[in-house]
Amino acid sequence: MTFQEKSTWIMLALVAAVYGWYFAVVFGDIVTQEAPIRDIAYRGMMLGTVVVLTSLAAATHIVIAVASPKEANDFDERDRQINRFGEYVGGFVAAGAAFAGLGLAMFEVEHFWIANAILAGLVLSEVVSGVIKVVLYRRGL
Amino acid sequence: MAKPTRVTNQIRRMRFEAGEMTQAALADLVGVTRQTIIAIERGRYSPSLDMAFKIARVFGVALDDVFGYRDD
Repeated sequence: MTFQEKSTWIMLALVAAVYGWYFAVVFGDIVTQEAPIRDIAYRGMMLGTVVVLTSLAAATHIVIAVASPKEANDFDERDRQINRFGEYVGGFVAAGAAFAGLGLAMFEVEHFWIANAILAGLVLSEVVSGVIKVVLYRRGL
Repeated sequence: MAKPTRVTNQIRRMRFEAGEMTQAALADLVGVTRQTIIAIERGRYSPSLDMAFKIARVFGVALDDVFGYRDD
């Protein structure tokens, strides 16, 4: 498995874990408590997940680079094509998230929903992009 | 099982004939990862023209001695 493929698997797992936890906690609160959604302290958590995700990504990439230093800078044309195709498809999902946020803003929906709809779309775009890359690495381009 | 590409190749045979050159050695000479050589040999990846020429040059043969194209 190339460094880039390992990196793809790691990012997919981290995004799924960190944002799976975030949405479970934030929306779990909405379901289980009767607090108005504007009172839920989602902002700190949302920013916190970015810091956590970035830190975990940096730490895990250091570990896999140290484990096989020779491969750490390998990025050939196949990696580039797989990466481009994954990002291309993920870009459509991210655009969908932007339009969803735009629509919610037009209808003056609570900021909470706008922010979380955009975040969910961005997370989904990362997951879709990651899954496509993994499938292309495994099954061929 | 993924559908193989239409580009066929003789890389495995040519490696064998070139003193049983390993996939890793060929990858180093071409400047790609070993996994990319594996993917090409198995028909899961069609190399760029640039890479195809580099591979042919490693074996000292013409491009179509290494690569072919299936008409189906």
